[in-house]
Amino acid sequence: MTDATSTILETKNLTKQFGKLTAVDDVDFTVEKNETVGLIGPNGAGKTTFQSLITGEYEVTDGSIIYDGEDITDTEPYQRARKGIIKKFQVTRVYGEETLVENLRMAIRGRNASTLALLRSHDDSDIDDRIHELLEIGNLDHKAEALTKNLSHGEQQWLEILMAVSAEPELLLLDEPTSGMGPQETNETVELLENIKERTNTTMLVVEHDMDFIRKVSNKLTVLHHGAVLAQGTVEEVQNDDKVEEVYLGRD
Amino acid sequence: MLQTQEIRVGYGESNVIWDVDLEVGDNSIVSILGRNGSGKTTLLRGIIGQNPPTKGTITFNGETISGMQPHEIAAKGIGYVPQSRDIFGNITVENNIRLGSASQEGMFLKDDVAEFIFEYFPALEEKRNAKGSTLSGGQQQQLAIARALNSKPELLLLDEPSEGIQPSIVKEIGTQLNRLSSERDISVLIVEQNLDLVESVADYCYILESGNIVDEGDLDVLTEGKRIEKHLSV
Repeated sequence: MTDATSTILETKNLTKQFGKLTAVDDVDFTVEKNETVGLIGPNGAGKTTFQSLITGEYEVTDGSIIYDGEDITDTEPYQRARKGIIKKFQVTRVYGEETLVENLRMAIRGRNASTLALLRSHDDSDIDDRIHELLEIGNLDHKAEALTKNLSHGEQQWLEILMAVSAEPELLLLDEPTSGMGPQETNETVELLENIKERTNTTMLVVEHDMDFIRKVSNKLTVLHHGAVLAQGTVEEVQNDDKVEEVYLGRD
Repeated sequence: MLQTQEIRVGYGESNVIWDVDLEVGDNSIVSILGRNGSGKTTLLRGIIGQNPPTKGTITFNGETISGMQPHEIAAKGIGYVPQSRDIFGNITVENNIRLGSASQEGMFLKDDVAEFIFEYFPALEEKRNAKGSTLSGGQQQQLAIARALNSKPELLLLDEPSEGIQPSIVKEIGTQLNRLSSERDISVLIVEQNLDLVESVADYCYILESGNIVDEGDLDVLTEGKRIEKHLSV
């Protein structure tokens, strides 16, 4: 059962300052459970810093971060990961000399087990089922036994998204998931995110500068500009916002 | 202390660093900022002689070091902490530190551990006899710095020490770098993307983009207006 209106993430007056630069400026932002929220903005808008505040890689200068009703502002990144905030980074980090199946197996075991259990051989049938399910979600079943280094750039990105999904995140952060992709791969990424949504109900926060992609995958959009919220709302509301158009067409 | 003049550094036919001038003064902490792929690591490798510059000169305490072998440059007083840390997992913390001062003749780990190091990194003293592999990522980073310190460098080069490390440990590393600079006259050249760490330690910054220095100044100057946003992911 899902509760469509409960808030999973909320930032209040979130601010991050570096020297005299206010990289994130008094941002109020919410993500509801089961939503896909898109965060967009031109280069230098504060998207990267905002995500680093959510994951705990940077400490906040001011404001707070509430996750699942709990104030996590002063917690360490690993504590947030354990609570279910999982990030897929922009740069891919997969094991090229291993197959897709083995990459996923490591991700699943790493999540569920201690190092000792990771090394011990045991019954893997549950894990095998899960790997199969993940490959299906990613439309990568036909490549299950391929070496990861032989995948295209797009396929490697998708595998890594699946590795993040294997950790059963409550909130999945995707940093520019279509980075370096052509139009075809970008469309397939839209499909992948839809599959993930449908099969796992994962709440997602997707950071992108590609407006076209983001409006296809998001229920709700937030536009950052110079660190502050420029516009927030449904895809339609944001698209019809004059301020957003100005920023994106460079009439700033 | 350290000066590079119009140095070019690359890999074979592919040049990465283009005519870079930079300077690190006595007792100062200087930072090189830049996105992934901007050439930060290559620049450090040029300075330590792992990728000798194909053009330009590097001087250290008035002496030309470009053209010298890496071990000769290290012996002049430049310590290097690589991004990969390269800790030896199967030997103790203490022996990892010893390796920092093992000269070519003295590869038998007879060299002493400089005890002052533990004043700065007490966590390592507690783990002195533990194997390197038992350390957390943050402790391994501290060990990599400690190992470089054991060669008693005048200048320490650090390649993204904050990478993959939780903010509380990053802060701790920043505090110790400031202490090393003020109490032990060690200068630091630090390559970073973590602006928190840079803000807490750096007296002066250079911004590297596509192998060129595109801006420089102290962080307050660089963060004024929208200057820094053009070159860094914020």
